[in-house]
Amino acid sequence: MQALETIGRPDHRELLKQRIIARTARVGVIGIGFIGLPLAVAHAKAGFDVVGVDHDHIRVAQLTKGLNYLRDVRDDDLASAVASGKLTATTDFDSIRDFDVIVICVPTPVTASKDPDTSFVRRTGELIAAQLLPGRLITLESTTYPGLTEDVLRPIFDTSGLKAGEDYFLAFSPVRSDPGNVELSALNVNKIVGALTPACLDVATTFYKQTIPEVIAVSSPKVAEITKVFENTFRAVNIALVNELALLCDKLGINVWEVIDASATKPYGIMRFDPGPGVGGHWIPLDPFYLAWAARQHDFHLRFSELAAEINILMPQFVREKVIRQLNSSGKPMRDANILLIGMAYKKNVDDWQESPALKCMYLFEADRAIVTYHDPHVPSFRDRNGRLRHSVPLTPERLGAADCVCIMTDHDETDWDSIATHATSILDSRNATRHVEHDREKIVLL
Amino acid sequence: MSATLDGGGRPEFDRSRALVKFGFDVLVAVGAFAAAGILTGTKIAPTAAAVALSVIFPAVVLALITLGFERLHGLTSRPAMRALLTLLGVAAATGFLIALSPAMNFAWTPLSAILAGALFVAIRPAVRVRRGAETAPVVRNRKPHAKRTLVVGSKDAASALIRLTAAREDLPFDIVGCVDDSPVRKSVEGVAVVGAVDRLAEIINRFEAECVIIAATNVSRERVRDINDMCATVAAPDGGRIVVKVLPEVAEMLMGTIQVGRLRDVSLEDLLRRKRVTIDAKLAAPHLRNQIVLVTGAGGSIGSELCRQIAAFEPKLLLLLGHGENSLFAIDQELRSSLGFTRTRIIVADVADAARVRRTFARFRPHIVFHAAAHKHVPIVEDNVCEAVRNNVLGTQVLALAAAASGVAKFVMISTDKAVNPSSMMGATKRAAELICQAFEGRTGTEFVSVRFGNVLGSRGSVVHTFKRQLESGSPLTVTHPDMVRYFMTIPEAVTLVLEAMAIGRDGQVFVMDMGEPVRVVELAENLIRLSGLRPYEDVDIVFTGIRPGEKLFEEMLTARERENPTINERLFMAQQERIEYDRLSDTIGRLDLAVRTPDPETVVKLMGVLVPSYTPSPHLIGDRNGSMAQMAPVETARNGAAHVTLSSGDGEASEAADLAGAADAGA
Repeated sequence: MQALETIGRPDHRELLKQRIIARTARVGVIGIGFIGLPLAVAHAKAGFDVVGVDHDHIRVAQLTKGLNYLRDVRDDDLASAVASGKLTATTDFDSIRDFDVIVICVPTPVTASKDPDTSFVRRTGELIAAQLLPGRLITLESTTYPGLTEDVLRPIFDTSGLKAGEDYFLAFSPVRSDPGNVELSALNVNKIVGALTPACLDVATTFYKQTIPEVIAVSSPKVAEITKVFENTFRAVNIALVNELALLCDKLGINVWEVIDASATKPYGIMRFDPGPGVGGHWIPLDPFYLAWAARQHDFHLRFSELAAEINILMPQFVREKVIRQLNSSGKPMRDANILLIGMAYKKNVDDWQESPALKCMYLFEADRAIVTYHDPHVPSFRDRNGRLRHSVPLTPERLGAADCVCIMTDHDETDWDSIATHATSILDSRNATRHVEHDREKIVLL
Repeated sequence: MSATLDGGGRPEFDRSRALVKFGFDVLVAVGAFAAAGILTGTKIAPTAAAVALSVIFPAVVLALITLGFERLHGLTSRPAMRALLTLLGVAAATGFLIALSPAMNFAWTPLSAILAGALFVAIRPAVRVRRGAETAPVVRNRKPHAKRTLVVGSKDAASALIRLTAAREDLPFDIVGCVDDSPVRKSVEGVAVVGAVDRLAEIINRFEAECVIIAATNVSRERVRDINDMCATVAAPDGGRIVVKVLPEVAEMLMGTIQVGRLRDVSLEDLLRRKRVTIDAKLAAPHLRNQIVLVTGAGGSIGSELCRQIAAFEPKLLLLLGHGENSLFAIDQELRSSLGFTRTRIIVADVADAARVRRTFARFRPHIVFHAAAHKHVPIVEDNVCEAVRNNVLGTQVLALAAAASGVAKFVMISTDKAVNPSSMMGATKRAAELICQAFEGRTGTEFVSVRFGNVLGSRGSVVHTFKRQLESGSPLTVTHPDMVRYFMTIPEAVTLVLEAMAIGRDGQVFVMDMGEPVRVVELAENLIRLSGLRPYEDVDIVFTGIRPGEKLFEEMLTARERENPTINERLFMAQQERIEYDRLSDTIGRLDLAVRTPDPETVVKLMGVLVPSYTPSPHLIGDRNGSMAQMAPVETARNGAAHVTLSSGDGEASEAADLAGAADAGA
């Protein structure tokens, strides 16, 4: 039975749901970076008219021309979505007015002091609020600390005079993606949705069910928010645990990978994580800070996640120490040593080099005045912190032979480990990428 | 690149051969002294020690001198120099002995010394002849239909040439003499040096020569032209023209495009008064070797030369992109047959076709892109505004976006000097393409570099190409204006500079080539006529046709300010540029895209004026459409150098254009 005061008012919830099911709802994706673009493509593929909105004119022009700038999106998916007219892009934020569904995918970095930087989310919220019309669904996909949707975004939208759960619908549904894994894209990973009100949840799950096989509704945005951050903190803590084990094994003179391999044979109660030169990417290094920050607001200290971050940050230093030892054993100083990094991306088969441990190691080596070059087929070039463009060098026997130390930082699938082992004179393998190489073992030092 | 004309440089110092020579020298010395002793009939070998000393000492001195010279200068390959050395050595040693003779109780007369020297000198060449023809003087080759030929030069290049013509039946040259201003010897490989170059005409008549081959290293363009002029004053015995040929430069031979046995006709290149451009191959190599390289417009004259030079760096894969399959096929075949380079892929595509470009970049993921595809004919572009903008501007945009999206490391755009304060649509489109590349600066992982070309010789449709065709058809040469001045450069030179710019360029820089002194087109025409053995204005007329739409009398290449920005290559300069945000261009480009597709040439011209404020459209493009140019205010302000005065229209578009004008001013 309809409440008295709503008689004669349009039922925005039902109307919007119908538009979503009929695919006549227009979807606006704010921010078409590594979160937004795969989602935009997925929604376009599901039959929605999708518009990507971004300040970056170059990205917008690329998307408009069907040019894919992300490895995690299939070129053909993007091109056909653009060619069919389902996916367009604009730099015009006034177009937000026309969208029935607004998906916020702006970055949520941390500040220099490792506090959450939510300014992009706030500003986007203000832009939306300024032109918010009744009957809109707004979802936030960016990783946040628990409470942002309810305590920050909602008050901003409420300034429009519209009412959450009746006039507009607000939900948080974090993106879950496994970079480098094209098969496991935004389309086929289960998705958590937490919304302000039951009506918000209803509309949001209806929307996500159009593209995602299973949508898991949780009781509030806060639950969804903390779930996302916890998932990544879980990973960060476990990686830190094996990294710590690696530090110990180094002291004991034990091959840590042998330990990991052996422990992974236990059929229950253990999950395999591999040590490495550190963590990178958009989430693992940052999310524990989000969680820790939120905890600090309540005078609570998350010792695990802070310790995990601390150990993981140490790993590049440990790589440096190993390289120094290795150079030392052949009577060479770090200064002017020729160091070749294999892999600049933060993990295998991805092209994301920002926040990568390889990059941190490169800066450490260069601070020691070593001469550092890198090879990474996924990162042909990048701009370092000095604005200098660095180019991947082709792997040639001469180059491998000329390096005083070859450091394996990323175990991309296509790398020819045999050839590296054959031609290099000294190898530090921080990923156990050479596990299948049987010859030249005496040259290879594992992390 | 400086090396002697011995092809592979001089041979390595050979220790065992030197030892044989040394032994031989000792033998000769012993023989000489023995002979001298016998002939003079005086006391032979008073003591064993004295004989040993008198024989071994000069031999050792001689050998040391010879070895020293061999090490220092590699002079042993030159028989005349070696004989001279030997003679000097013998004379010195003998003199020394004579001076010592009282003390040693010898009574040898100077006659013995002379005899020893003479013997020494005589035996050496004789033995060398027996050892083989390798360094022996050649016997003049009398071939039935060989041309009587004079060689300019008397050094290594000349000697290599004479030996080659003697050895090869298929070279129809009969070398009758050498001409050299400062000969170091009287004959070269048995061919006499007959006089100085200044008297070439006289010598040609005296020897009834039909052909002159310039065989000297580092011969300047002026010199070739002088020689050519001298030859033009006399006629061959059959009344025809004296054929002048130039031995190709070492650089060309090293590039592998020319075989040592081939000669080239004197070309217009010789008439350009400039030093050859050199490149530091170490710079370009890391970017090209074992990398995937894409060249757009690969079938064109610049694109195909790019392919040739890039192939020499052994890339992993060379992608030849263009829209004409014939020219792509031709360059592909050429790379395969003459350079043996087979790692190519032909991609027939239109650069403005985003879908095709996307597929190419997604599939091959090139590391370096050279963008040489463009419509470049000034008058044609004036008449085909929409197509030219689509190809030159929108095509560059598509390629640049695709390059940035797929992670290309370097994107090199071939621009033109006509892009500076353009008066033609062609120049304006290239300036717009430069602006697009600059606007990407620092925004992506791709480095964008533009290189401005001047006129290149031999490029299809270039003035020289047209002249040659006109000469062949016997029609008068057409020059637009007697005062028309152009910079010229050969394509290989210019492309070499492009590779250098690729290596050193970054951050959207625009490079300008130092093209030397500008050349008056009419002079070029006159020289070309003379080169054909004809007289300008008498045998072949030169007609002035008037300036065509969009043409300038003089093209600005480098301003004084730009010369203040040298690079590590003395022939490359950086154009002064200010940073332009892509965000400010993208709107105009979007509207341009729409106007091109409509197609609406009038709007296209207007938008090009907004995009490139320094552009002055030729009158016929804006012609009778009165009032339509009112919105072109930014253009006017830019030309007057007052980019920041208040504009007639106060909307955002105009002020954006004004800012662009400021930037372009700095670039001009």
